[in-house]
Amino acid sequence: MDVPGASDAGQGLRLEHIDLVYATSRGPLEALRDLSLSVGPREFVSVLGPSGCGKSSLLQLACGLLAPTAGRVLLAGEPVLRPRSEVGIVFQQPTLLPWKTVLDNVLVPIRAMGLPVADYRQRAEELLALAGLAGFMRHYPRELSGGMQQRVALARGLIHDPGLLLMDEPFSALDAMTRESMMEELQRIWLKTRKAVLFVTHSIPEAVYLSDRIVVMSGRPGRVLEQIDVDMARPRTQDDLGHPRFLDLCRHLRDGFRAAEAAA
Amino acid sequence: MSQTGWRATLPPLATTALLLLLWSAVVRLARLPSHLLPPPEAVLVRLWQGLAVTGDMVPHLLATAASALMGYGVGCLGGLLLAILLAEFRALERTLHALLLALQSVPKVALAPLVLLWAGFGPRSVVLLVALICFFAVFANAFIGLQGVDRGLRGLFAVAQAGRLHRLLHLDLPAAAGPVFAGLQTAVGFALVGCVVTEFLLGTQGVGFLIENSANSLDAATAVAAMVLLGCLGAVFSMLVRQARRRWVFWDRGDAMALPGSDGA
Amino acid sequence: MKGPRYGDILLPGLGVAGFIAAWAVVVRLGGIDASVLPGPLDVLHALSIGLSQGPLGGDALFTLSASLAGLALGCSLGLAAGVLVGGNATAHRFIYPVAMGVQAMPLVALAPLLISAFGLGAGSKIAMVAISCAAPVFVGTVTGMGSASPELLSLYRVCGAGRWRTLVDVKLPGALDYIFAGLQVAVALAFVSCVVAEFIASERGLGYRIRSLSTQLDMSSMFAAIAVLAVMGGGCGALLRLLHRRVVHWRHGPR
Repeated sequence: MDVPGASDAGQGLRLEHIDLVYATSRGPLEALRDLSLSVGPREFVSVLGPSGCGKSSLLQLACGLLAPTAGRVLLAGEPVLRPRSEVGIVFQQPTLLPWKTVLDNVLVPIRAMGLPVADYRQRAEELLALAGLAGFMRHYPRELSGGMQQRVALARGLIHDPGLLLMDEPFSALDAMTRESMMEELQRIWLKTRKAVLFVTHSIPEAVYLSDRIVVMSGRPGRVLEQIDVDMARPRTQDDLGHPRFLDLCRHLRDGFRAAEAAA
Repeated sequence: MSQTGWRATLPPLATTALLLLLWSAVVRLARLPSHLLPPPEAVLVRLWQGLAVTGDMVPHLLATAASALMGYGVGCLGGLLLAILLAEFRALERTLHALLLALQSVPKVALAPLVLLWAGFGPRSVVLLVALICFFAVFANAFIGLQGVDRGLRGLFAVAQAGRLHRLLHLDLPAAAGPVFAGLQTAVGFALVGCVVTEFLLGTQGVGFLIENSANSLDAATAVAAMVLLGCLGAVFSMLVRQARRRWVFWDRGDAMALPGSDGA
Repeated sequence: MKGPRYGDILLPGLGVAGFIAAWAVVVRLGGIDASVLPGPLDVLHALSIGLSQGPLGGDALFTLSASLAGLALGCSLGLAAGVLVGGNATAHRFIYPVAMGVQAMPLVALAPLLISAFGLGAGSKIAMVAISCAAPVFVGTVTGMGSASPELLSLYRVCGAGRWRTLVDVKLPGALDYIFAGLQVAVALAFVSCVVAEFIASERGLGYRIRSLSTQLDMSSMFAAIAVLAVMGGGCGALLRLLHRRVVHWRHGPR
């Protein structure tokens, strides 16, 4: 199923020479330094980095919740000056509204934007079916497992057909087995909807499995250390997890992190 | 960004100052009769008079403080002991459960006339009622706290063949300390309520008597002054409990909220 | 789900029955005068007479209606103020600590003043109850509104939702659990405050009745009145808990 209205023209994300400095009670805290990266309109880009390197701040910059101290953020060619609704967000915790049904939860961004909910109901149902939750639309979040809730969160991120999807370590709160199956699920859904995705993670195999390109970040202050293209064919399968090219990439990334850790 | 430390006390102080000014203004502008609501200045004057000049309020303050402290001590200790007992012997707990529930539904303050009949019209009754109130307040919290002790840790102590007393002292009580102190904290408020209400009916001494008597004689300044004293007493008492908590429950910085249903009043 | 084990019913039943039996025995065998401690049957007798012919029913109704009226007033005030303050960080800094301080004070101490202001009738009781109830509901509302998940709030900000929308969709429903906790405290305080006000000066009501019965040394009727009060308070508390579970169904529903 190809989602209607998935537009193409320059919906990408560009961060150009971003500096991000926080004012804290202990003095200025440099979170990001001269960071530049871009995500093409149909690209899946992962950001890999140690904890505290500013990955989450990146996402906040991308959707306009934060303004950079220097540099600029461009979404579809236009500078991001205030929170922008053309992005979808998926958090670490599903953060669904426990008092609404699964279907109503998917429609939350629509309500928040003040758009007519009825117009999007069918799309919500289709997205939930795509995520394999067709039979759970009238259920409440507490009746769903962590993985299922996260899938609802994914559908919620896609409901308003955003050009860019931001995902902040969405599987880190799940157990290992669910993580693996969610990885495959995400790939499957992404291949059907083909959005630009900025995916923050600290799992190397996850990054390699899912991405077209991996941006490796340093510890604080966050800078781009290197960018790696993942040139493996899609769709990637469970077998690919043992593929020599896959293992190569993982090893390369792991060594890089170990070196960075030793140098720090 | 939230303020920390002493800076955080400035806004509420400002609000309080504003409220006092408002109070003064309202009394003046509406020309309220002084037996209805005295201006804050009158209250301050009366306080100064009552505490320092004639000192007529001091014996009442001391009487209330003493009764409250004694009742608090006895009641809280009793509540804690019963909680320990019932947490240890589950069969006993289940037998008494319905009974305790029924007793908890009785607002202890309503028992004030009864207590006065039984224990006589003297400070003894005040202590008794306060003790009753504190007993239930602490018992509920302590019991829940003791029940909530981590099963894994209990298993650890069992495997090490620790004696009952040892386990109580080294595991159960420290683990339940958080909820117990929450109960102790709420008991402070209830203790003062119990004190005041009994003194209302007692009619001889105490801050409660002061309030009731002066309100009856339309001496609102004294009544409000007495209430300020009560508030101060409560604040000091509360702070003492908080300090004790900080010392004895040093590992838990959280602001423990008293559990619902724990009010013994 | 297993049915209730017999230990859950037998033991408590035994406890209650045992207590009543022991009570009756102590009174009878100890030769205790009914003016010191009445036996359970005396109390029951006084209860039925008080309700059918006596003033107990009227007193109960008075206390109940005054308490409920005061509750309605106090809780609406507390809720409204809580919503206003909870949504505004500045207001929170200035007002919340003061409210917490007020809540810690024994507000029933105001009863004599309120009575001299509002008189003997229901007015002073309602005022006392309202004042006592507003604070816990206010505190609960503010705390609840502050408990909204920051990620959800971010989501709403990104979607460009206005203050009102965020309030109604996210903050208020999330605050309901805390609001009900505050209401629970308020209900208990309501009856206490009403009774205390009636102690001091009233023409009717359970508090008034308990006090006047004590001067008449009519212990059985006094116990009866206290029992009625307990049932009333407990009943309202239980009803509230039921309502809590139904409204905040997502916390207490099946898993």
